Amino acid sequence: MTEQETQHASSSEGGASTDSIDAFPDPAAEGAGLGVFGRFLTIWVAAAIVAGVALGQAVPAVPETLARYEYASVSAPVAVLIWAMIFPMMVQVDFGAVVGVRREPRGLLVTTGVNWLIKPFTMYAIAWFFLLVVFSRFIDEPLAREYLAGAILLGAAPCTAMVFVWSYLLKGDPGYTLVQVAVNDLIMLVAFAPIVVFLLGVSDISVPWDTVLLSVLLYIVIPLAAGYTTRVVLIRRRGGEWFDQVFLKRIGSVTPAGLIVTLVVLFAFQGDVILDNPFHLALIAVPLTIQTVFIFFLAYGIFRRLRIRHSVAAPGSLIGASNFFELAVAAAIALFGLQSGAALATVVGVLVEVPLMLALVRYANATRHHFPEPVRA
Amino acid sequence: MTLRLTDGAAEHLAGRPLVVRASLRNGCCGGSAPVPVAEIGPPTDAASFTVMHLGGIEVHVDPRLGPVDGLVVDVDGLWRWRRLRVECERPHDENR
Repeated sequence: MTEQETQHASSSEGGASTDSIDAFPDPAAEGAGLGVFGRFLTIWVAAAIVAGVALGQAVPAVPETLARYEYASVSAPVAVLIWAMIFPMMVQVDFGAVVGVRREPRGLLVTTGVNWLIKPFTMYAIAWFFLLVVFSRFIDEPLAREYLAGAILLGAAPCTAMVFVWSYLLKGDPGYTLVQVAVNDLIMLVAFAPIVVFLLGVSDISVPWDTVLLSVLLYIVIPLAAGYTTRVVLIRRRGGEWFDQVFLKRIGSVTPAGLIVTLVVLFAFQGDVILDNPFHLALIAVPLTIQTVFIFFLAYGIFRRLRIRHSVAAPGSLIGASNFFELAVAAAIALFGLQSGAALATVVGVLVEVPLMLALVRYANATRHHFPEPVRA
Repeated sequence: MTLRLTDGAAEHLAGRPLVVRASLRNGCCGGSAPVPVAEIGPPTDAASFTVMHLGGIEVHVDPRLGPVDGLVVDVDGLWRWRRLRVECERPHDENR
Protein backbone atom coordinates (compact mmCIF):
# COMPACT_ATOMS: atom_id res chain seq x y z
CA MET A 1 0.00 0.00 0.00
CA THR A 2 1.31 3.41 -0.88
CA GLU A 3 0.76 5.64 2.09
CA GLN A 4 1.39 9.21 1.12
CA GLU A 5 2.17 12.09 3.30
CA THR A 6 -0.86 14.28 3.69
CA GLN A 7 -0.42 17.91 2.84
CA HIS A 8 -3.21 20.00 4.23
CA ALA A 9 -3.88 23.47 3.01
CA SER A 10 -6.93 24.90 4.65
CA SER A 11 -8.84 27.42 2.64
CA SER A 12 -12.18 29.13 2.88
CA GLU A 13 -14.76 29.38 0.09
CA GLY A 14 -17.95 31.25 0.79
CA GLY A 15 -17.60 30.54 4.47
CA ALA A 16 -17.13 26.80 3.92
CA SER A 17 -13.83 25.48 5.20
CA THR A 18 -12.11 22.98 2.91
CA ASP A 19 -8.87 21.01 2.84
CA SER A 20 -6.72 20.27 -0.14
CA ILE A 21 -4.15 17.56 -0.57
CA ASP A 22 -1.66 16.50 -3.21
CA ALA A 23 -2.32 13.23 -4.97
CA PHE A 24 -0.33 11.48 -7.68
CA PRO A 25 -2.41 9.34 -9.99
CA ASP A 26 -0.90 7.29 -12.76
CA PRO A 27 -0.90 9.49 -15.87
CA ALA A 28 -2.04 6.61 -18.08
CA ALA A 29 -5.72 5.79 -17.88
CA GLU A 30 -5.98 2.14 -18.93
CA GLY A 31 -7.37 1.63 -22.40
CA ALA A 32 -9.21 4.97 -22.45
CA GLY A 33 -10.04 6.79 -25.66
CA LEU A 34 -11.65 5.89 -28.94
CA GLY A 35 -9.71 2.70 -29.61
CA VAL A 36 -8.98 1.04 -32.95
CA PHE A 37 -12.55 -0.11 -33.54
CA GLY A 38 -14.03 3.31 -32.93
CA ARG A 39 -11.41 5.20 -34.89
CA PHE A 40 -12.05 3.12 -37.99
CA LEU A 41 -15.78 2.60 -37.47
CA THR A 42 -16.59 4.01 -40.91
CA ILE A 43 -14.45 1.29 -42.49
CA TRP A 44 -16.08 -1.49 -40.44
CA VAL A 45 -19.55 -0.16 -41.29
CA ALA A 46 -18.67 0.05 -44.98
CA ALA A 47 -17.32 -3.51 -44.82
CA ALA A 48 -20.52 -4.65 -43.07
CA ILE A 49 -22.58 -3.06 -45.86
CA VAL A 50 -20.56 -4.85 -48.56
CA ALA A 51 -20.68 -8.15 -46.64
CA GLY A 52 -24.42 -7.82 -46.05
CA VAL A 53 -25.23 -7.00 -49.66
CA ALA A 54 -23.01 -9.87 -50.85
CA LEU A 55 -24.63 -12.27 -48.40
CA GLY A 56 -28.14 -11.27 -49.44
CA GLN A 57 -27.32 -11.62 -53.14
CA ALA A 58 -25.30 -14.83 -52.88
CA VAL A 59 -27.44 -16.61 -50.31
CA PRO A 60 -30.97 -15.18 -50.56
CA ALA A 61 -32.15 -17.92 -48.23
CA VAL A 62 -30.55 -16.01 -45.32
CA PRO A 63 -32.84 -12.96 -45.40
CA GLU A 64 -35.79 -15.15 -46.37
CA THR A 65 -35.24 -17.39 -43.36
CA LEU A 66 -34.75 -14.45 -41.00
CA ALA A 67 -37.93 -12.82 -42.27
CA ARG A 68 -39.93 -15.88 -41.25
CA TYR A 69 -39.34 -15.26 -37.56
CA GLU A 70 -41.48 -12.15 -37.40
CA TYR A 71 -44.09 -11.45 -34.74
CA ALA A 72 -46.28 -8.32 -34.73
CA SER A 73 -44.07 -6.78 -37.46
CA VAL A 74 -40.99 -7.33 -35.29
CA SER A 75 -38.26 -9.63 -36.56
CA ALA A 76 -37.22 -11.73 -33.60
CA PRO A 77 -33.54 -12.24 -34.67
CA VAL A 78 -33.19 -8.52 -35.37
CA ALA A 79 -34.81 -7.64 -32.03
CA VAL A 80 -32.26 -9.83 -30.25
CA LEU A 81 -29.41 -8.13 -32.12
CA ILE A 82 -30.78 -4.70 -31.27
CA TRP A 83 -31.08 -5.59 -27.59
CA ALA A 84 -27.47 -6.76 -27.76
CA MET A 85 -26.57 -3.27 -28.99
CA ILE A 86 -28.73 -1.25 -26.62
CA PHE A 87 -28.65 -3.16 -23.33
CA PRO A 88 -24.89 -2.68 -22.66
CA MET A 89 -25.42 1.07 -23.10
CA MET A 90 -28.43 1.23 -20.84
CA VAL A 91 -26.73 -0.76 -18.10
CA GLN A 92 -24.14 2.03 -17.89
CA VAL A 93 -26.67 4.81 -17.32
CA ASP A 94 -26.44 5.93 -13.72
CA PHE A 95 -29.89 7.36 -13.03
CA GLY A 96 -28.81 8.26 -9.51
CA ALA A 97 -26.78 11.04 -11.14
CA VAL A 98 -29.98 13.01 -11.85
CA VAL A 99 -29.83 14.31 -8.27
CA GLY A 100 -27.07 16.54 -9.62
CA VAL A 101 -29.41 18.50 -11.90
CA ARG A 102 -29.18 21.59 -9.71
CA ARG A 103 -25.46 21.77 -10.34
CA GLU A 104 -24.64 24.28 -13.09
CA PRO A 105 -28.25 24.26 -14.33
CA ARG A 106 -27.50 26.57 -17.24
CA GLY A 107 -25.35 23.88 -18.86
CA LEU A 108 -28.12 21.33 -18.54
CA LEU A 109 -30.73 23.78 -19.83
CA VAL A 110 -28.70 24.45 -22.98
CA THR A 111 -28.11 20.75 -23.66
CA THR A 112 -31.69 19.65 -23.06
CA GLY A 113 -33.13 22.68 -24.86
CA VAL A 114 -31.00 22.10 -27.96
CA ASN A 115 -31.56 18.32 -27.87
CA TRP A 116 -35.31 18.33 -27.48
CA LEU A 117 -36.66 21.71 -28.59
CA ILE A 118 -34.39 22.40 -31.56
CA LYS A 119 -32.51 19.36 -32.84
CA PRO A 120 -35.45 17.14 -33.96
CA PHE A 121 -37.03 20.04 -35.84
CA THR A 122 -33.87 21.26 -37.58
CA MET A 123 -33.14 17.67 -38.58
CA TYR A 124 -36.59 17.47 -40.14
CA ALA A 125 -36.21 20.84 -41.90
CA ILE A 126 -32.69 20.22 -43.24
CA ALA A 127 -33.42 16.64 -44.33
CA TRP A 128 -36.71 17.66 -45.96
CA PHE A 129 -35.02 20.52 -47.84
CA PHE A 130 -32.23 18.37 -49.24
CA LEU A 131 -34.01 15.06 -49.80
CA LEU A 132 -37.30 16.40 -51.18
CA VAL A 133 -36.19 19.66 -52.80
CA VAL A 134 -32.48 19.84 -53.66
CA PHE A 135 -32.09 16.14 -54.54
CA SER A 136 -35.57 15.66 -56.00
CA ARG A 137 -34.05 14.95 -59.43
CA PHE A 138 -32.07 12.04 -58.05
CA ILE A 139 -34.47 10.47 -55.54
CA ASP A 140 -38.09 9.47 -56.19
CA GLU A 141 -40.43 11.14 -53.76
CA PRO A 142 -41.73 8.01 -51.99
CA LEU A 143 -38.16 6.87 -51.35
CA ALA A 144 -37.11 10.39 -50.32
CA ARG A 145 -39.89 10.38 -47.71
CA GLU A 146 -38.59 7.09 -46.35
CA TYR A 147 -35.10 8.59 -46.06
CA LEU A 148 -36.66 11.61 -44.38
CA ALA A 149 -38.32 9.28 -41.86
CA GLY A 150 -34.90 7.78 -41.07
CA ALA A 151 -33.45 11.24 -40.56
CA ILE A 152 -36.32 12.15 -38.23
CA LEU A 153 -35.63 9.05 -36.14
CA LEU A 154 -31.96 10.01 -35.90
CA GLY A 155 -32.83 13.56 -34.88
CA ALA A 156 -35.16 12.46 -32.10
CA ALA A 157 -32.54 10.43 -30.23
CA PRO A 158 -29.47 12.17 -28.80
CA CYS A 159 -26.27 10.25 -28.13
CA THR A 160 -26.01 8.17 -24.95
CA ALA A 161 -22.94 5.98 -24.51
CA MET A 162 -20.49 7.58 -26.89
CA VAL A 163 -20.78 10.91 -25.06
CA PHE A 164 -18.40 9.60 -22.38
CA VAL A 165 -15.71 8.95 -24.98
CA TRP A 166 -16.23 12.33 -26.65
CA SER A 167 -16.15 13.96 -23.22
CA TYR A 168 -12.88 12.19 -22.43
CA LEU A 169 -11.30 13.32 -25.71
CA LEU A 170 -12.49 16.87 -24.97
CA LYS A 171 -11.11 16.84 -21.41
CA GLY A 172 -14.69 17.30 -20.29
CA ASP A 173 -16.02 17.06 -16.76
CA PRO A 174 -17.07 13.39 -16.61
CA GLY A 175 -19.24 13.86 -13.53
CA TYR A 176 -21.28 16.47 -15.32
CA THR A 177 -21.51 14.25 -18.41
CA LEU A 178 -23.05 11.55 -16.18
CA VAL A 179 -25.80 13.98 -15.17
CA GLN A 180 -26.40 15.12 -18.76
CA VAL A 181 -26.72 11.54 -20.05
CA ALA A 182 -29.06 10.46 -17.23
CA VAL A 183 -31.35 13.47 -17.76
CA ASN A 184 -31.39 12.99 -21.54
CA ASP A 185 -32.26 9.31 -21.27
CA LEU A 186 -35.13 10.05 -18.90
CA ILE A 187 -36.49 12.70 -21.29
CA MET A 188 -36.08 10.26 -24.18
CA LEU A 189 -38.45 7.84 -22.45
CA VAL A 190 -41.34 10.29 -22.76
CA ALA A 191 -40.32 12.57 -25.65
CA PHE A 192 -39.07 10.20 -28.37
CA ALA A 193 -42.45 8.77 -29.43
CA PRO A 194 -44.45 12.05 -29.52
CA ILE A 195 -41.70 13.88 -31.44
CA VAL A 196 -41.35 11.06 -33.96
CA VAL A 197 -45.12 10.74 -34.49
CA PHE A 198 -45.51 14.51 -34.84
CA LEU A 199 -42.67 14.95 -37.35
CA LEU A 200 -43.64 11.89 -39.36
CA GLY A 201 -47.20 13.28 -39.47
CA VAL A 202 -45.91 16.64 -40.71
CA SER A 203 -44.01 14.74 -43.40
CA ASP A 204 -47.18 12.92 -44.53
CA ILE A 205 -45.75 9.63 -43.34
CA SER A 206 -48.34 7.89 -41.29
CA VAL A 207 -47.32 5.34 -38.73
CA PRO A 208 -49.74 3.84 -36.26
CA TRP A 209 -49.27 5.03 -32.69
CA ASP A 210 -49.33 1.48 -31.39
CA THR A 211 -46.36 0.55 -33.63
CA VAL A 212 -44.40 3.54 -32.36
CA LEU A 213 -45.25 2.71 -28.78
CA LEU A 214 -44.28 -0.92 -29.36
CA SER A 215 -40.86 0.15 -30.67
CA VAL A 216 -40.40 2.50 -27.69
CA LEU A 217 -41.38 -0.33 -25.36
CA LEU A 218 -39.09 -2.85 -27.08
CA TYR A 219 -36.06 -0.70 -27.72
CA ILE A 220 -36.12 1.92 -24.94
CA VAL A 221 -38.27 0.84 -22.00
CA ILE A 222 -37.31 -2.84 -21.87
CA PRO A 223 -33.52 -2.36 -22.32
CA LEU A 224 -33.60 0.58 -19.91
CA ALA A 225 -35.52 -1.35 -17.25
CA ALA A 226 -33.35 -4.44 -17.79
CA GLY A 227 -30.19 -2.31 -17.66
CA TYR A 228 -31.27 -0.49 -14.52
CA THR A 229 -32.29 -3.71 -12.75
CA THR A 230 -29.09 -5.49 -13.74
CA ARG A 231 -27.02 -2.53 -12.55
CA VAL A 232 -28.77 -2.27 -9.19
CA VAL A 233 -28.74 -6.01 -8.49
CA LEU A 234 -25.11 -6.55 -9.52
CA ILE A 235 -23.82 -3.52 -7.62
CA ARG A 236 -25.74 -4.64 -4.52
CA ARG A 237 -24.36 -8.20 -4.78
CA ARG A 238 -20.84 -7.66 -6.11
CA GLY A 239 -20.07 -3.99 -5.46
CA GLY A 240 -19.58 -0.99 -7.74
CA GLU A 241 -15.91 -1.73 -8.35
CA TRP A 242 -16.61 -5.23 -9.66
CA PHE A 243 -19.48 -3.93 -11.76
CA ASP A 244 -17.33 -1.27 -13.42
CA GLN A 245 -14.04 -3.06 -13.72
CA VAL A 246 -15.21 -6.60 -14.50
CA PHE A 247 -18.82 -6.64 -15.72
CA LEU A 248 -18.71 -3.52 -17.91
CA LYS A 249 -15.36 -4.54 -19.35
CA ARG A 250 -16.76 -7.96 -20.25
CA ILE A 251 -19.78 -6.56 -22.07
CA GLY A 252 -17.89 -3.63 -23.60
CA SER A 253 -17.48 -5.29 -26.98
CA VAL A 254 -21.08 -6.53 -27.22
CA THR A 255 -22.50 -3.24 -28.55
CA PRO A 256 -19.98 -2.76 -31.39
CA ALA A 257 -20.22 -6.47 -32.30
CA GLY A 258 -24.04 -6.30 -32.22
CA LEU A 259 -23.91 -3.21 -34.40
CA ILE A 260 -21.78 -4.83 -37.09
CA VAL A 261 -23.82 -8.06 -37.14
CA THR A 262 -27.07 -6.03 -37.28
CA LEU A 263 -25.72 -4.07 -40.24
CA VAL A 264 -24.73 -7.25 -42.08
CA VAL A 265 -28.25 -8.64 -41.55
CA LEU A 266 -29.87 -5.32 -42.45
CA PHE A 267 -27.93 -5.06 -45.70
CA ALA A 268 -28.64 -8.66 -46.58
CA PHE A 269 -32.22 -7.35 -46.91
CA GLN A 270 -31.18 -4.02 -48.45
CA GLY A 271 -29.09 -5.44 -51.32
CA ASP A 272 -31.45 -4.43 -54.15
CA VAL A 273 -31.97 -0.91 -52.76
CA ILE A 274 -28.22 -0.32 -52.50
CA LEU A 275 -27.38 -1.87 -55.88
CA ASP A 276 -30.12 0.18 -57.57
CA ASN A 277 -29.12 3.46 -55.89
CA PRO A 278 -25.54 3.34 -54.57
CA PHE A 279 -25.29 7.10 -54.99
CA HIS A 280 -28.08 7.61 -52.46
CA LEU A 281 -25.76 6.88 -49.53
CA ALA A 282 -23.81 10.04 -50.35
CA LEU A 283 -26.97 12.07 -50.88
CA ILE A 284 -28.41 11.04 -47.50
CA ALA A 285 -25.08 11.89 -45.85
CA VAL A 286 -25.34 15.55 -46.91
CA PRO A 287 -28.26 16.68 -44.68
CA LEU A 288 -27.09 14.47 -41.81
CA THR A 289 -23.64 16.08 -41.92
CA ILE A 290 -25.04 19.61 -42.13
CA GLN A 291 -27.39 18.92 -39.20
CA THR A 292 -24.58 17.55 -37.03
CA VAL A 293 -22.33 20.53 -37.68
CA PHE A 294 -25.19 23.02 -37.26
CA ILE A 295 -26.34 21.61 -33.92
CA PHE A 296 -22.80 21.49 -32.60
CA PHE A 297 -22.10 25.12 -33.49
CA LEU A 298 -25.47 26.27 -32.21
CA ALA A 299 -24.98 24.69 -28.78
CA TYR A 300 -21.29 25.59 -28.65
CA GLY A 301 -22.12 29.23 -29.50
CA ILE A 302 -24.79 29.43 -26.80
CA PHE A 303 -22.41 27.92 -24.23
CA ARG A 304 -19.73 30.39 -25.23
CA ARG A 305 -22.12 33.34 -24.99
CA LEU A 306 -23.20 32.21 -21.54
CA ARG A 307 -19.53 31.88 -20.53
CA ILE A 308 -19.98 28.30 -19.34
CA ARG A 309 -16.72 26.42 -18.75
CA HIS A 310 -15.37 24.39 -21.66
CA SER A 311 -15.41 21.08 -19.79
CA VAL A 312 -19.23 21.37 -19.64
CA ALA A 313 -19.78 23.23 -22.93
CA ALA A 314 -17.87 20.95 -25.30
CA PRO A 315 -19.37 17.58 -24.22
CA GLY A 316 -22.78 19.24 -23.96
CA SER A 317 -22.51 20.42 -27.57
CA LEU A 318 -21.56 16.95 -28.79
CA ILE A 319 -24.47 15.18 -27.07
CA GLY A 320 -26.93 16.89 -29.41
CA ALA A 321 -24.65 16.76 -32.42
CA SER A 322 -24.32 12.98 -32.31
CA ASN A 323 -27.19 10.52 -32.35
CA PHE A 324 -28.34 7.41 -30.56
CA PHE A 325 -28.24 5.63 -33.88
CA GLU A 326 -28.81 2.13 -32.47
CA LEU A 327 -32.22 3.32 -31.31
CA ALA A 328 -32.85 5.04 -34.64
CA VAL A 329 -31.91 1.87 -36.56
CA ALA A 330 -34.15 -0.19 -34.27
CA ALA A 331 -37.11 2.16 -34.58
CA ALA A 332 -36.69 2.39 -38.37
CA ILE A 333 -36.74 -1.40 -38.68
CA ALA A 334 -39.73 -1.71 -36.35
CA LEU A 335 -41.74 1.06 -38.04
CA PHE A 336 -40.79 0.64 -41.69
CA GLY A 337 -39.10 -2.74 -42.05
CA LEU A 338 -35.63 -4.05 -42.80
CA GLN A 339 -35.89 -3.22 -46.49
CA SER A 340 -37.03 0.35 -45.95
CA GLY A 341 -35.30 3.55 -46.99
CA ALA A 342 -35.72 4.74 -43.39
CA ALA A 343 -33.51 1.92 -42.12
CA LEU A 344 -30.93 2.75 -44.80
CA ALA A 345 -30.90 6.44 -43.82
CA THR A 346 -30.26 5.63 -40.15
CA VAL A 347 -27.25 3.52 -41.16
CA VAL A 348 -25.79 6.46 -43.09
CA GLY A 349 -25.86 8.24 -39.72
CA VAL A 350 -23.53 5.53 -38.40
CA LEU A 351 -21.25 5.86 -41.45
CA VAL A 352 -20.59 9.57 -40.99
CA GLU A 353 -20.65 9.69 -37.19
CA VAL A 354 -17.07 9.06 -36.11
CA PRO A 355 -15.08 11.08 -38.68
CA LEU A 356 -17.43 14.00 -38.22
CA MET A 357 -17.38 13.88 -34.44
CA LEU A 358 -13.60 13.57 -34.35
CA ALA A 359 -13.34 16.71 -36.49
CA LEU A 360 -15.66 18.54 -34.07
CA VAL A 361 -13.63 17.27 -31.10
CA ARG A 362 -10.48 18.68 -32.72
CA TYR A 363 -12.20 22.01 -33.33
CA ALA A 364 -13.52 22.18 -29.75
CA ASN A 365 -10.10 21.39 -28.31
CA ALA A 366 -8.50 24.06 -30.48
CA THR A 367 -11.00 26.72 -29.35
CA ARG A 368 -10.86 25.97 -25.63
CA HIS A 369 -9.30 29.38 -24.99
CA HIS A 370 -12.57 31.09 -25.99
CA PHE A 371 -14.15 29.83 -22.79
CA PRO A 372 -13.57 30.90 -19.19
CA GLU A 373 -10.90 29.05 -17.25
CA PRO A 374 -12.28 26.57 -14.72
CA VAL A 375 -12.06 27.60 -11.07
CA ARG A 376 -9.30 25.49 -9.59
CA ALA A 377 -9.79 23.80 -6.26
CA MET B 1 -3.29 17.22 -8.82
CA THR B 2 -5.34 18.39 -5.92
CA LEU B 3 -8.27 16.72 -4.26
CA ARG B 4 -10.75 18.75 -2.30
CA LEU B 5 -13.50 17.54 -0.04
CA THR B 6 -16.33 19.98 0.54
CA ASP B 7 -17.86 20.47 3.97
CA GLY B 8 -21.08 18.86 2.72
CA ALA B 9 -19.22 15.76 1.55
CA ALA B 10 -17.24 15.55 4.79
CA GLU B 11 -20.49 15.78 6.76
CA HIS B 12 -22.10 13.08 4.57
CA LEU B 13 -19.10 10.80 5.09
CA ALA B 14 -19.23 11.28 8.87
CA GLY B 15 -15.72 9.90 9.34
CA ARG B 16 -16.20 6.89 7.04
CA PRO B 17 -13.51 6.17 4.44
CA LEU B 18 -13.88 7.50 0.92
CA VAL B 19 -12.98 5.90 -2.41
CA VAL B 20 -12.41 8.01 -5.52
CA ARG B 21 -12.11 5.56 -8.37
CA ALA B 22 -12.40 5.26 -12.13
CA SER B 23 -15.66 3.86 -13.45
CA LEU B 24 -15.05 2.72 -17.01
CA ARG B 25 -17.76 3.63 -19.55
CA ASN B 26 -17.88 1.95 -22.96
CA GLY B 27 -18.79 3.89 -26.09
CA CYS B 28 -21.31 2.41 -28.51
CA CYS B 29 -18.90 3.00 -31.42
CA GLY B 30 -16.07 1.39 -29.46
CA GLY B 31 -13.61 2.97 -27.07
CA SER B 32 -14.03 3.76 -23.40
CA ALA B 33 -13.51 6.52 -20.88
CA PRO B 34 -12.78 6.58 -17.15
CA VAL B 35 -15.39 8.51 -15.18
CA PRO B 36 -14.33 9.44 -11.63
CA VAL B 37 -16.87 8.36 -9.02
CA ALA B 38 -16.83 8.68 -5.23
CA GLU B 39 -18.16 6.03 -2.87
CA ILE B 40 -18.25 5.44 0.85
CA GLY B 41 -16.09 2.68 2.26
CA PRO B 42 -12.65 1.25 1.55
CA PRO B 43 -12.01 -0.37 -1.87
CA THR B 44 -11.95 -4.16 -2.19
CA ASP B 45 -8.35 -4.12 -3.31
CA ALA B 46 -6.95 -1.30 -1.19
CA ALA B 47 -3.36 -2.22 -2.13
CA SER B 48 -3.78 -0.84 -5.63
CA PHE B 49 -5.07 2.52 -4.39
CA THR B 50 -3.19 5.53 -3.09
CA VAL B 51 -4.25 6.24 0.48
CA MET B 52 -4.38 9.70 1.96
CA HIS B 53 -5.89 11.38 4.96
CA LEU B 54 -7.89 14.49 4.38
CA GLY B 55 -9.46 16.38 7.25
CA GLY B 56 -9.56 13.21 9.34
CA ILE B 57 -11.05 11.13 6.53
CA GLU B 58 -9.23 8.22 4.90
CA VAL B 59 -9.29 8.76 1.13
CA HIS B 60 -8.41 5.98 -1.35
CA VAL B 61 -7.55 7.35 -4.81
CA ASP B 62 -7.59 5.07 -7.86
CA PRO B 63 -4.47 5.46 -10.03
CA ARG B 64 -6.57 4.43 -13.06
CA LEU B 65 -8.23 7.84 -12.97
CA GLY B 66 -5.54 9.06 -15.30
CA PRO B 67 -4.54 12.68 -15.59
CA VAL B 68 -7.12 14.75 -13.74
CA ASP B 69 -6.88 18.11 -12.12
CA GLY B 70 -8.80 19.87 -9.38
CA LEU B 71 -10.76 16.86 -8.14
CA VAL B 72 -13.62 18.04 -5.95
CA VAL B 73 -15.75 15.59 -3.99
CA ASP B 74 -19.10 17.10 -3.12
CA VAL B 75 -22.56 15.85 -2.27
CA ASP B 76 -25.73 16.18 -4.37
CA GLY B 77 -29.39 15.66 -3.60
CA LEU B 78 -31.56 15.92 -0.53
CA TRP B 79 -32.43 13.71 2.44
CA ARG B 80 -31.99 10.00 1.66
CA TRP B 81 -31.26 10.74 -2.00
CA ARG B 82 -27.94 12.34 -1.19
CA ARG B 83 -24.94 10.96 -3.05
CA LEU B 84 -21.32 11.84 -3.49
CA ARG B 85 -20.20 13.25 -6.78
CA VAL B 86 -16.83 14.09 -8.27
CA GLU B 87 -16.08 17.15 -10.31
CA CYS B 88 -12.79 17.45 -12.13
CA GLU B 89 -10.93 18.93 -15.04
CA ARG B 90 -8.65 16.94 -17.30
CA PRO B 91 -5.48 18.89 -18.03
CA HIS B 92 -5.34 19.91 -21.68
CA ASP B 93 -2.31 18.75 -23.63
CA GLU B 94 -1.87 20.81 -26.79
CA ASN B 95 -0.13 17.89 -28.49
CA ARG B 96 -3.03 15.42 -28.13
